[in-house]
Amino acid sequence: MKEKTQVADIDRSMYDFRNEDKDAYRIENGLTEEIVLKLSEEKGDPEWVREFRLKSLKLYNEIPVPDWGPDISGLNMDEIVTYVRPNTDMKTDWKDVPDEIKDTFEKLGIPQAEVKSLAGVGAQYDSELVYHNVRKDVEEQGVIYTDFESAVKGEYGDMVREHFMKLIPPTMHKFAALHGAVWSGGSFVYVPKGVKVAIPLQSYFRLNAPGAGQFEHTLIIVDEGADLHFIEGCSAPKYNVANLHAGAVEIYVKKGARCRYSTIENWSKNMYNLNTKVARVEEGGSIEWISGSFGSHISYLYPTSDLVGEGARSDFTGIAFANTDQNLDTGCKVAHRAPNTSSYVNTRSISKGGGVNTFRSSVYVAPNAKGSKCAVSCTSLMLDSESRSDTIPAMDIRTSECDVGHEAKIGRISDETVFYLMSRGLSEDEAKALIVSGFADSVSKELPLEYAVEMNNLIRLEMIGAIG
Amino acid sequence: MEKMYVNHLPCITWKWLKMNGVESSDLPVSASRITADVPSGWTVSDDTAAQGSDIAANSNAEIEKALFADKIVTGLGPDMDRLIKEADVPVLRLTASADEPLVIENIYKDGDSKLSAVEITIPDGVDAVVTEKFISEDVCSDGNAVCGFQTRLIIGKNASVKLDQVQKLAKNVVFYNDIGTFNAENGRFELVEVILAGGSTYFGSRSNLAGRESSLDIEMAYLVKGKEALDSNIAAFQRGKRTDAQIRVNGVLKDEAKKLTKATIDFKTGSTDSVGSETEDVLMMSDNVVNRTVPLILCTEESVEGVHGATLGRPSEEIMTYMMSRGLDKNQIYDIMEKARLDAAAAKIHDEQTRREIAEYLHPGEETE
Repeated sequence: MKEKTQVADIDRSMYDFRNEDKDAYRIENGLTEEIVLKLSEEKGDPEWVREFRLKSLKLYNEIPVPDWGPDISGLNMDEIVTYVRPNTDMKTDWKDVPDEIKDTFEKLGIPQAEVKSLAGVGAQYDSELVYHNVRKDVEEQGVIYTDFESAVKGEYGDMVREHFMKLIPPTMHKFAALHGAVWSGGSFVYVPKGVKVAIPLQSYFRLNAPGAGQFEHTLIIVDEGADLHFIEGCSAPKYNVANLHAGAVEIYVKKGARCRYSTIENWSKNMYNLNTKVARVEEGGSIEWISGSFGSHISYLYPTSDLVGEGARSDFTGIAFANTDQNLDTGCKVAHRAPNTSSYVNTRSISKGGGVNTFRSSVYVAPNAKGSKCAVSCTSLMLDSESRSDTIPAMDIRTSECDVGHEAKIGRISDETVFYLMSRGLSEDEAKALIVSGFADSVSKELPLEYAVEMNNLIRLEMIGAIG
Repeated sequence: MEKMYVNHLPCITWKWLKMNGVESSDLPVSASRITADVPSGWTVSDDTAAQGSDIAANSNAEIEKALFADKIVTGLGPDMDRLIKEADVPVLRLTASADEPLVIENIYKDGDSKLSAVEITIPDGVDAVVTEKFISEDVCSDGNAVCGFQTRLIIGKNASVKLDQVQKLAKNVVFYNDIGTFNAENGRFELVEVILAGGSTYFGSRSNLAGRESSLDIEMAYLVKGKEALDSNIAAFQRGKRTDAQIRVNGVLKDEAKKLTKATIDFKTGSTDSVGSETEDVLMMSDNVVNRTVPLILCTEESVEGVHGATLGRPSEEIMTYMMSRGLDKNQIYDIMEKARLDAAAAKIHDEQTRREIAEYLHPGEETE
């Protein structure tokens, strides 16, 4: 099996390999109060977490399954294992991680990336983190980057409790409630006032167990004037049974702070990716979402920016590539709730091989958000007529003193461009792959170089067989 | 029928947005026979029976199935058909000729609860012109009325229909304006929709562009003011090859007005080389208005081009600066811009008398054409 010695070597086997199931503990299938209590006990939750789980479970049972998005009837919660603990506790040195798990992350290039270009790494395997480390110089700046379990139970417990599931309350939707009931793993990040973390932190989520769910919780607080780039990666081997990812990401961007949150999501194509991400941005702060959605069978993913402080800003740059057996319902939500806030949404989607892409968004401008500006641009590329591409942007504007613009385009690769590139010696496959890579350029240029290259390789990989 | 569900979005979205459709219990209940001077070249059918509908109003799958079966599904949706059937509304069925335009004038009085329907067949090769007016007897009245009107157009091969609609209703009138078309090969539907006044307006228009090179061209202009509300749903169902849908909406919102625009371009498999465009430009003239928009592009065909653009908000600073440098104050500028939008659409109305009436309403005391 190949290792990711260089990005050009990428192929699907890099993500689809699987390890033998050697978990240390696996809770029984399904979702009942008994299972949730057992999970809570297994994890040694504080009382308030246990209570929170039970309240969330009640809500989960009350909230109906969404009927406005892709069909998720193939997801049977009675068959999902909500907690699988790997056969190791969390390590801070890759040498101490069991070989099989370490090999997994090496094939995914995580330890190598940590050495070269990351300030800290968290690696989750099934339901728990197996590795977490942060560079000493970053730690010395006062940056806290730790696994979420330790944060809940340790010295940051009060801070966590103050912020946990406040941006994503379990009442938000069915899968937020599910997350509240069965969350495990994830990361806690705190960047102190004025601290600028020069290179990114990364969390990588690997789901190895068939039929399992992953419900990690990521809580990031970027304090006043601070700066952080956080990268999230995820993958899983393909199984014949449904897997579920219902994580939650909560980001607090304080006054004058900036947070960039980049995701390259490459789940296997049996995955239901029902993830929720929300950022709350205070005065003069900024949130930048960079989102690449390539994997999963079904995705519901709409990073949300709540601009609550004057001059707060949100940028969303996204690309989604839906291929055979994929239905990716992605987009974003932005709420302008303070004066002079601004948002920019720029998305690209590509559909081929019967894949379905939906761009879904909402922009809300509150009556007090005077002087706000918003621009939304979404462009979709259809590579064949078996596929589907929909754009469903909604806007709700409640003040006249704002500027809101929206544009959407849908089309195909022009024959003239393909012909031109072929006249320069490229095959039709190569020409189309090049055009699609160029189409995705607005996203890839926002990523660190190695991730941009990976994204382009993913596109090239997806484009194989695009013709005929 | 106690409640009616209308203006269902062709592809629904988050329910908390409350944009997927509207349930209303203010329904017109009295069947009203349309009285119009039918031009001599036109023929009137004896069949006045309403068809009704067995389609669920909130089922896009059923609506789509009916459209593929060459049926007309109107913009407001199947509940409007059911209401018409239930009220036993006599449908005026006409076959158009190119010789003379048809004008249907509907005058509504306080307390009215009228429901009317017309179905016009435009034979192959015929170019017809139809004007429909919806007017309150006293547009300044405070009286209540709940009225509805449905227009169904069966557009033959190489035929066209230019439908002009003008609405000028009193501020407490609830009005349902429903349009549906079936377009055969090269069948062209052009709609100029001018909404000047009305309490709560539900407007829907859906075109089944089944025929090759069939087309839809909608120019809509609205002025929603006071506490008025407008909920509109425009949909182009593009099935035929080389179909063309152009939807342009220009509006002005004042005072405490509320508006929701839904516009959908739906390219179905087989609509090769089709194009579709929808634009909306809304001038918001008060901080108390609610301006909501959801423009959809749905696509299952590779070889198409669809675009959407929306500009919502106030006039640009450049325009304001330029006009103020010409000695106009903010109110005057807004007044000019409001009227310019409506005048531009009104100028496209074919019936001279109707154009004059709009001009008199928008520019009282000024000399009109």
